[in-house]
This record gives sequence, C-alpha cells and structure tokens, in this order.
Amino acid sequence: MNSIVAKDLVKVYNQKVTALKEVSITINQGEFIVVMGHSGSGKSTLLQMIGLLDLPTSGSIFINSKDVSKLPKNAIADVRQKSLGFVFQAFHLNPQLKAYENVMLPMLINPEYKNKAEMEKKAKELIDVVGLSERAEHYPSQLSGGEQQRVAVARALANDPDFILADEPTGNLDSENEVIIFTLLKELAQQGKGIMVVSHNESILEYADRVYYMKDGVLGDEKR
Amino acid sequence: MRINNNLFLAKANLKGSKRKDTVMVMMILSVVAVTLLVGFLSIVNTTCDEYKNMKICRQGYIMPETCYPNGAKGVTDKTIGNVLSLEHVVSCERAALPTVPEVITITKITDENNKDVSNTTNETNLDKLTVGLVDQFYDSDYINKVIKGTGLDKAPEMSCILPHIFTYEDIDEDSGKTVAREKISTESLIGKTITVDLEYLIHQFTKGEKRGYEKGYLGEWTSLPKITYKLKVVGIYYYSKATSLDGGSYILVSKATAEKIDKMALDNAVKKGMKDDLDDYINDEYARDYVVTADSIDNIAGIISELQGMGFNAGVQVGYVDESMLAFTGIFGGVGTFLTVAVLFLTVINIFLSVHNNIAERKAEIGLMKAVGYKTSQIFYSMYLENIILAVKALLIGGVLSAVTVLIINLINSSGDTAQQMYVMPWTSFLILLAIAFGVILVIPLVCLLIMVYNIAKIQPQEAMNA
Repeated sequence: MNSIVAKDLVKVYNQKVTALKEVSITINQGEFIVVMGHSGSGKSTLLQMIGLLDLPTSGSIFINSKDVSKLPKNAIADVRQKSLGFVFQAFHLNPQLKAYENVMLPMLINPEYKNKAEMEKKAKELIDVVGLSERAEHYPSQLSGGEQQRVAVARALANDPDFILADEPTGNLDSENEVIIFTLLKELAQQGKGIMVVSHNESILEYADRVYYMKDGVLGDEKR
Repeated sequence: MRINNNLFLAKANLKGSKRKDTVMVMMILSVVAVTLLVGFLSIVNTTCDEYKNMKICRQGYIMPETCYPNGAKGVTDKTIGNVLSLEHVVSCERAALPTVPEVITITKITDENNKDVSNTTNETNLDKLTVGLVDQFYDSDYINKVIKGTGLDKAPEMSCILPHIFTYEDIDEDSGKTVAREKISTESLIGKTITVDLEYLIHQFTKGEKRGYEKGYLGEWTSLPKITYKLKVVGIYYYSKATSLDGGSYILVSKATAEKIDKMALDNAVKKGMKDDLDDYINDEYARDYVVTADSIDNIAGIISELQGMGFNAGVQVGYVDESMLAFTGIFGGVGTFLTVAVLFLTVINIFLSVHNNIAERKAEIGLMKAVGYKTSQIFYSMYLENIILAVKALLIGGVLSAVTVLIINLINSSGDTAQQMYVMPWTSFLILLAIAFGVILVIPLVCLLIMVYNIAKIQPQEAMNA
C-alpha cells in the first residue's frame, strides 16, 4: 500500500511567521483523512507541503517511500503529475475547454497517453465516474457550481494518481452539492485512493476515516 | 509534451484571449510593412544607387582653352596635372568617342546565313528598333554584364550588345502624347547582324590662330556625313531602368569598335571635302572636350566649382542628373523607413503588453497547470504556440493583401513610362520579403516571452489555491 508520510514539517514565512510547527502526518491509500481548523491555523499550508505545491523550511516528505522534499523543481512537478491529484475551492476550469477537455488537461503532459483519442476516451470515462456523462460536451459556463467541481474531481483523476488532495472543495457550493462531492470523494477512497481534505466544514466529519484539528500551526492528535 | 497537445491547448486559450485581435492586426501590419514598404524602399534605393554610380552621373567636362583674351584655360599637358591633383577626381580623359550621334537608324537585319530577316518578326521591326534603341555608347558600366550571349571583351571588333528589352513608344506628332507603348525583347537578335546608318554631330574645335586669334580654340557643332556599317549582336545585357536617363536604351560597343566607327566617320567626312574643318579635331590632342570623372555623384559639383575657380571652362554633364529622382528617393526613403520602424515598434510594444497582461491574468490558471505537473518550459511553449497560430493567420492575411497590392502596383508601373518602370517588384523578392516578415512576427513574440519567462517561472503552484 502506498502512502504519503510527512515528518516534522516546519514552514516559516519571511523569517517571521511560523505556519507549521513540526507537523507529522501519514496518508495511506484507501483512507479519507480530514484536517480541520479555523482560518490561519495552517491547514492549507500543510496541504501545500503534502501536495508539493510549496517546500517546507525543514522536515521531510515521503511519497511511496521516496523522499521527495529535496528533489529539483522539475522532478517535483513529475511527482505531482504521476502521484497526486488536486481539487481546489475555486474550480479553475478552463472556460474555453469543454468539460471532458478540462479533464484532459493533465493528460496532455503524460507520455503514457499515445494520442488524443486515447485521452478523450479516458476523459469521458472519468466524466462518467463523476456522474456527468450527459454534460461532457458542455462548457464550464453551462455547468452549475457543483457540476464544475465534479469536473474538477474528474480532472484530478486524469493521470490515475494514488492520492487526491482537496482544499475546501465545497467552499463555493450549497449543501446539496456538498453531499455530492463528499460522497464522490468517499467512493474514491473506497476504491483505493488516498484522500486528504482540508476543510472547516463539519459536515465532512461523517465521511472521514481520520480527523485532525490544526491550531496555530500545530497538528492535534487524531480524532476517531 | 507533443506538438498536437500543445496546439490543442493553444487554440483553446486563444479563443478566450482578449487581445488576440489587436495582436493579429499588428502582425498583419508588420507583414504588410516589411513586404511593401521595405520591398519598394529597397527597389527605390537600389535603383537610385545604381543610377548614382553610373559614370555619366559622376562626370563633368572641360572645354579646350578659349580664344578670348583672359579666356578660360583648357586641358593641356601642362594643366592636366592640376586637374588630376584635385580631391575626388578619378580621371581626366579626352572626351570618349563617340560623341552624340545625331541620327542612328537601323536599316537592315540579317541572320547567320546573310539572309535578310528585317521586319519578319516584332523584334526585327526596323522602325521599332530605330525608335527604341536610341544611342550607341561604348563607355558604359554594363559593357560586359551580359545575361545571355557573349560580353564585348570576348567578342571580335564590330560586335555589339543590346538591352534585353527596349520600349517602343509611338508618339502622336500633333499632340505629343504617347499613343502606344510596347516592350520588345531583343533575345532573338543574338547572332544576327544589324546594319546601322549613323550621322554624327561633333563638338569640333579649331585653333584660334586660323581665325585671327593669338591662342586658344574656337568650338562649333558640325554634322558629319552619314556612314553605314554593320554590327554583329553577340549578347544582351540587363536593361536597368536607371541607365535610361533620357528614356531610351543603348546599343553598346567596345571602345575599339567605337573608335573604329568614329574613324570611319571622320575619314568619310575628309573624303567628302571636310579636311580643313576637321584637321585640328583629328590631329590636335587638345582640340577636344576633356571629361573629368569623380568618385561619387555627390562630389562632381564641387569638383567643377573648383575647376572653374582655377580658371577652367568646366561644367557638369547637363540633363543626365535627375534631381527629381534623387529627391523622390530621399522623401520616399524617409517616410517609408519611418512607417516601417513605427509599425514594427508598435507591434513589439503591443505583443509585449499582451504577453505581460496575459501572464498576470492567467496566474491562477498557470498555478493550476503547475499544480498538475506542467513545467515552466511547457507553459512557455504553449503560450508561444498561441502566438505562432496568430502569426500564421497574419501571414496569410497580410501576404494576400500585400500580394494584391504588389500586383496592382506592378501592373500600373510596368505599363507606365520609363521612370515608373523602375518601380516594379520582382515576385522572388516579394516571396523573400514575405519569408522575412514571417520570421519577424515569429521572433517578436518569442523575444517578448523570453523576457517574461521569469514572470511565468515566478508563479507558484499554490496560486491555484488562491481564488
């Protein structure tokens, strides 16, 4: 089973603000982990570290037993491309691409896809997984917020990553769509993906396998 | 990342680009500026340079010593050194033969078998040839620049080369207007022999002492009796519009041939009783105009002025320097260069701003692309490809616009008078300029993106987390 192991992560900004204070966490495949906390607690910073979107001031990050925190920039980009999928609060869909074409975006740089037809086929399969088959040819402007976020989830699955990292994925959605998204993420966890969600929304708790609370850059003990 | 994948993304991003229309318009204008303005500027400047380098535009004359008291000096073995010592003077030689033929008529054309082929084709039409081939020269910059056949340096005496085309104009005697204009090729005349009737008008000088003066010479224009001779056409030279100073084009012969023809004319004149009139002209080395040649058209006026100051009876060759052409070149060059530079400058600014703003506006999108694994170089290529797509479209539109304009200008000018005919753009030149224009509109966005690549690199993947 693959995992992400973060050990003693410290992140200091501008030599003044310590956003993370020796945080350690493990995310295994098949788990749905939630990190909660108020704004400014450091939870988003933790996700940035885990997702290799930024590098820690000190500490290590192992993905599938490989220390990735010391790799050069391009190598880190490759790790993100192969092993990680992201879902952000703002959906960030390209308005000029149809729903399935947005899903194709990460595939364009994946050499495992031989041609566009292969990418299209896979993209439409993923659109089907998130329950939007009938909306595959629609542009983001023609989709609701919840539908757009589902497309973003499909995009996160484009290169079949081991882990999905989500930052406030339901921050812009109503309660009905929240349920849809959380259910979807839970299903992905049950299918073997490692899911880490950062959120302040307590309705996610019923989906989580493990819950952590962050406060002032310190990760509290696991709840549950 | 494969080119197809890049293309797919680039096309999609272009759809939503706010500035693509402005960028494309500037690229189209750049294509037009490079092909039209630069193209015609180049033609004008080349033609003007060709013209300015011609010997005849760099020459002045010095007349022999005059008879009058305190008369002007002439060139003698004592004074020629003074002339040659002037700065920018290249040579000072006795006026080259021939002088100006008053009338030159082509009376017959025969082929290699001596068969008369006069008037059998448009090219052998004697009237047209006589009207179109105005003069006979030997001292020309084009004497060996044949494009077909043999140059005069390798040809025997009494050979000639013709301009590859000449213009025949039919002018209405009453109104003086051109009623017909035709361009006729002379290529078929290579190997044929033309029979020429020539009547010389010479500027003849006689020793003043024969007329009661103490020193100096008296000058007068004298017509010599007609002579007839044959010239074999051995080649054709490229007819440069710049050489057609008076609207005509020249039969070119070697110096030896010209001297032989002139001797024939003088011998014939002596035979017909003009011996006394021509005695000094034939036998006195200094009973002739002398021609002084400058290193540049810009210096000849100054040299003549200096010579006049030294007491010589000197002047420029009147009627050969077309000041209006020089003025037109200057104005057209200035305006054309300004417009071209302005268009290219605005294109650079426009594309630079477009790239800069593009990156700023797409920060979150670029952050997302980096988050999913895109590298800075891949994002750079994708953005550059957007500009390549615009450049290809601009090349097609700008190329068609320019081609149509060149076609219209060429059609108008090639059927115009000799001066207009200078400004016809060859299609090979147009295609080369089009390729250069394409290069320009590819390089400008590349340079702009390279300057801004730091901005792309600076965007962190976590930008995608900022809504």
